[in-house]
Amino acid sequence: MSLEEDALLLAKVELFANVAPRRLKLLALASSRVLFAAGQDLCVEGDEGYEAFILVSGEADVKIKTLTGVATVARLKRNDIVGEMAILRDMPRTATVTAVSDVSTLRIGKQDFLNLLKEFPEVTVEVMRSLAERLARTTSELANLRSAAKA
Amino acid sequence: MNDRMEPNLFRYIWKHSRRQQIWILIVVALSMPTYFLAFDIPKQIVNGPIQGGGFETPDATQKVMPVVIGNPFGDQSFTLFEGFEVGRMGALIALSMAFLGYVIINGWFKLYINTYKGRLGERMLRRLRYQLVDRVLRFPFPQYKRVRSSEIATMIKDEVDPLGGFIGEAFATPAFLVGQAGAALLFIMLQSWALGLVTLAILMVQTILIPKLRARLRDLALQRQLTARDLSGRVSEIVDGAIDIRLNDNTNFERADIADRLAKIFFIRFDFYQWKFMVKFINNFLAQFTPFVFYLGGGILAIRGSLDIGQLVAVIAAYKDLPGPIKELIDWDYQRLDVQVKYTQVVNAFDVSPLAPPDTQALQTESVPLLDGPFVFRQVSAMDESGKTLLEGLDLTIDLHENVAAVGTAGDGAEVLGELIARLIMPSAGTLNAGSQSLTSLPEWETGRRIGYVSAEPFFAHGTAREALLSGLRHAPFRPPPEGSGLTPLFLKEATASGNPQFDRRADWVDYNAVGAQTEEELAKRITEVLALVNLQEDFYAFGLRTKLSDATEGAGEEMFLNARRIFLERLTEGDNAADVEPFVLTQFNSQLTLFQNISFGATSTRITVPSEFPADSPLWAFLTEDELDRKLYQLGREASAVIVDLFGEVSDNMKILERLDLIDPVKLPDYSALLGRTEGVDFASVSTDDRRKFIGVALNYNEPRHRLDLLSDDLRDAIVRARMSFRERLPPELAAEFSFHDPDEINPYASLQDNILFGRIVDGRAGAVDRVGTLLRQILEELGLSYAVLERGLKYEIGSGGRRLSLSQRQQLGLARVLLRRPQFLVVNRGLNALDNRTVERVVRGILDMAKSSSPGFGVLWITSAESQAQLFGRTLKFARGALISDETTQ
Repeated sequence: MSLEEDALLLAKVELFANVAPRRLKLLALASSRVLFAAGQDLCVEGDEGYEAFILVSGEADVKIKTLTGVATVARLKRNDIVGEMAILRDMPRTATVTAVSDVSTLRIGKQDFLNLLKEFPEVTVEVMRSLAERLARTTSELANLRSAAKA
Repeated sequence: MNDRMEPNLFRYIWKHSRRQQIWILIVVALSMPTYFLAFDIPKQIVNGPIQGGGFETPDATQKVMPVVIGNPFGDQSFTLFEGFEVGRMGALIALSMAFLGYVIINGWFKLYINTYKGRLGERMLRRLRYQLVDRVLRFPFPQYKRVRSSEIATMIKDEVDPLGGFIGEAFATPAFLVGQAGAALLFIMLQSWALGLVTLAILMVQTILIPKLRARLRDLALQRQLTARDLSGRVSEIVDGAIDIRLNDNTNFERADIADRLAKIFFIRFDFYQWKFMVKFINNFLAQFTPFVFYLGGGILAIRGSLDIGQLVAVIAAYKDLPGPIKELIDWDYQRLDVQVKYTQVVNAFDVSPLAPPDTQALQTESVPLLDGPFVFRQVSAMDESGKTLLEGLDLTIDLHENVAAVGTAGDGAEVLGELIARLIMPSAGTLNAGSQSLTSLPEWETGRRIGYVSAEPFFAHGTAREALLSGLRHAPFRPPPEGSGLTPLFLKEATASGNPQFDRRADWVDYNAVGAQTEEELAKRITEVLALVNLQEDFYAFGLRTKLSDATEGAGEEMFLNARRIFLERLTEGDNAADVEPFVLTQFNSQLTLFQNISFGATSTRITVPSEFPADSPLWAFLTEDELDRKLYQLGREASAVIVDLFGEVSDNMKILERLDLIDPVKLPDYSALLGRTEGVDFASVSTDDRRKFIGVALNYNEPRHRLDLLSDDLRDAIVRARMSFRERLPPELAAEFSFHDPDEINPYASLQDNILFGRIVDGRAGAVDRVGTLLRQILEELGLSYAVLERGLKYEIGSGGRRLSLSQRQQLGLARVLLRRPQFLVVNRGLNALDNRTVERVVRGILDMAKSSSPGFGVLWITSAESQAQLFGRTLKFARGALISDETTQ
């Protein structure tokens, strides 16, 4: 679990895809490795979130409460990120994420991340670019859905 | 009732010490005869027995010490006693003995008078200081926002101080001096009317002119006092605001401001000195002018024969006694001016009205009556100091058992509702009743126990958390002090003589009835309950676990904690999460500790806080030479420094991420950069000791899970474990006492309670480990009955001045706990938990509402907030906007 390894892991996350490796090393330094045993929750729907997790090994299920009960909506694997929105804005967790097997994660604290953004404006620009790309994608998906609904 | 302070210092002194002042006058008068007689005796001894005057024949005798009542206006005198008939030697002995007797009597009078004056002055000073603090305690609430605390403190501490010295002199000294001067003047008059009149005229000029000149001095003294007081206010602001000043780079503005104030003070003081010495010069001149007139005028008269030379000599001799007392009188007058100015200044600052009448704060040891009905607002309006309307035309009834939420953002009037009930502001119109009485008319001893008010900024005096919690209960001395520590009769007598109360500070002031507890155990139970209710129990519990075991182990002995350690180990290994804790094992490297902690494998006393800062030549480092440990640590430290300098070299020094990487102080990064360059490619043996020590210092603070630089090899881990023994063996005796090593069968007094029970460290990076271990620990302590002992240790935490060592949210929680502990009849929380997150607040609110309903007797709650979600928990919701109540809804 070296710094280099964690920096590479961060580089694979969409949000940080364009950030310079040197800066990612800093973020990696500020982050920490956290182990979850099978069955443990990485986060709980409705709780306030102060951190994001990147899966290093193992798998986790994403579950959402619905009117009919709890539904599993996705399974996360290596390099997937959990709760990245929480480190950008104050909002309760929108889903519960539970470890299926033993899961090793890299934990990014909200404050550490924000500190990095403050110190290096170019990192902020790159994160904004990633977010804008995601927004563009979501918007076009929404447009597609709307036209599909009308048809 | 007239509650103003006496503006005239002399009337104040006379009012409170009339009898004592008269007594001093009498004693001074009594001391006079011997005082003057003593002057005459040496002359008699020299002229008589020594030079032989009157003893011309060997058997001549004389009468010594006759008692004669003389008549200064004529030659007749009445002899009461002829004196003792003695020979020359006898006369010498008798007169010398008389001299000794006078010296003793005069000395004794002086001692008595000075002691008496001193005590009188000190009593008056004590009385004045007490009165001033008493008035502060009765100030109208808005006044507290207007005054600066340090200025009030300066006035009470420093500015009234000279008054103590003056008060004893206030009447006796001028009387004495006027008497002396009058006698001298009278004698001159008797010798020569003309010269007497001249003397009197010059004296008149002196006594009229000098005080006039001194009026300017008085003004300067006043300015000097005001500017000095301002300065102390500013200095305390700088201290209080130092952090903000420095974080905003305002230090130089503060320097400019202080320099400016000091300049003003300098010019005032310098001006003062100039005047002072000018006045002195004029005064001395006038004093010496009189003899000039005597010599010239008297001489001319004598030469012309119209004045007898004997008379002139007598006048000049008599005049010798005049300037002394006059000068002292003028000095006294100056001192009078000075203290009068100070006194007036102080009195003005404390003459605030309306003061709360003393009986509203009377001491009540009996139980006080309950509020007998609801809070009823009738057309109540309130204004702030500038006259802006805060709340208008409020009609509202709040029942004493109701739970009500008042919602509104700041400035909408909701908080004014709370401030009105707490009486922090008075209605500007309308009536506000509590049951059958006007709320404003209720005494503080009733509201202060029946109404609980919690603001967002509770204040705590310097002390422990426990003292802060109990501070809301100190209404009166409910229980006598421990045997033998009560107030002594002398203490009581002096308190009365100075108009101080006879309250006993050492008594137990805690109102156990208010808490609903009779014993210490019950009180402990209530404290635990209340802390749990405000969600603060865990915090203090954690403080307790962090305390070193050496800090007082009262309540639970070491054996108990050792037992807890055994049980903890058993449960941990039986459970599924044994890996949550990495135990202290002498033969194993512990990756949760820094390298130094691993080597020393123990804890240090509070005297050694940063071992890595020990000088390089300290014998502490003897172990480094074995096993080439110094070379290995140097290597590691150098590598770590290289990574850090590489990553952070360009980062500004306030970079927050650096806080996590505390191996190198950010300001020292350039040093390390240079150091790396200097040692590049240099063999270890050739590196200077200082440079080695710098890198080794970095290595010793290295902690793999925290710093994550992946620098530890198995080889190094083994070397470090081996170094443990050599560290112990080589530790010099003077340092040995500062270390205590981990031993599975012994308590470690320097280690924290938690380290002692866990006998290991919680493994970093295991999700939920901290909570799981915490729960297990808690459970075991609970079973062993040690929970409260731990909490109590936590409650001994020094919260600092104003509670500054706690976070804002902790202070708010503690403030709420303090009020809940005294079980008010009606609780007002005015945005009292606004530093906490909403979910925690809601949990606390549910707890409080539950307690309000289920406890006996229950209590009403008014919860003022801007969060609608909190309001939903209440049975009734009042909404405020722009200073008016806009809705009043009752829900079920």
